[in-house]
Amino acid sequence: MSYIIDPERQEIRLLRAVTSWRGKHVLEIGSGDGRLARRIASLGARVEGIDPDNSLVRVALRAAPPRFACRLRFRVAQAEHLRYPAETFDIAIFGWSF
Amino acid sequence: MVHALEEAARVLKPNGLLVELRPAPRHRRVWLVTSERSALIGRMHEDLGPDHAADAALARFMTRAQLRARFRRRTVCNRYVDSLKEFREFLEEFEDCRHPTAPHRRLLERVERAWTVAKGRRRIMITGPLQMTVLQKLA
Repeated sequence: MSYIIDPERQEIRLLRAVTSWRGKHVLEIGSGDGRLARRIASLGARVEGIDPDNSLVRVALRAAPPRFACRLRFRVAQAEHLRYPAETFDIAIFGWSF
Repeated sequence: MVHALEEAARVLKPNGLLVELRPAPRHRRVWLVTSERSALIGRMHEDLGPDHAADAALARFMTRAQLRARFRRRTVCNRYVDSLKEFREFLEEFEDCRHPTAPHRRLLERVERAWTVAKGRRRIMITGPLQMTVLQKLA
């Protein structure tokens, strides 16, 4: 199976134009298989990805590179009921969620 | 969608950014790419209604939430598949192409013909704009 999304990395160029991501605490809502979260972690951010689909969260956990272990986390959660205190994150991102 | 946006705004720090990234509501184009050339095969016929609804929901949310628009940008986003089987699977995310009146049935037939005729390494490229909207939570 070979299905490649955005190998030209246009998406990450777009995100780089937003702000400096280094050291930022980021919540990705609807993280799916973790593709975008891994890209954001590669920019130096600490990323928490949530997705309601348990099987996709397992894929994301398996695909997370060991070098990002301390700044890339995934969990099963619903976007409508986030279990985080108010004012926790610097950036919240909906990547291909709507 | 609005509940999810409200929750995202709640967990953001003051001045924090809410980024929404997704394919723009435009029909994607399908190309056959070989080592020699890229040929446009056709255009997809996705239902763009949900995308326009998401745009409208985001606009409504901005007016009532403590967020202000910072910027919106677009770029081109390509995806590639290496076989007809994978392309069929991609189309099935939108509809069942086996149905005789399926809008993508003719597109699939054109891609299959082009794939059969082309020589050497072939890939199918699906291209369309990706849009990003950035909102900022007021301090």
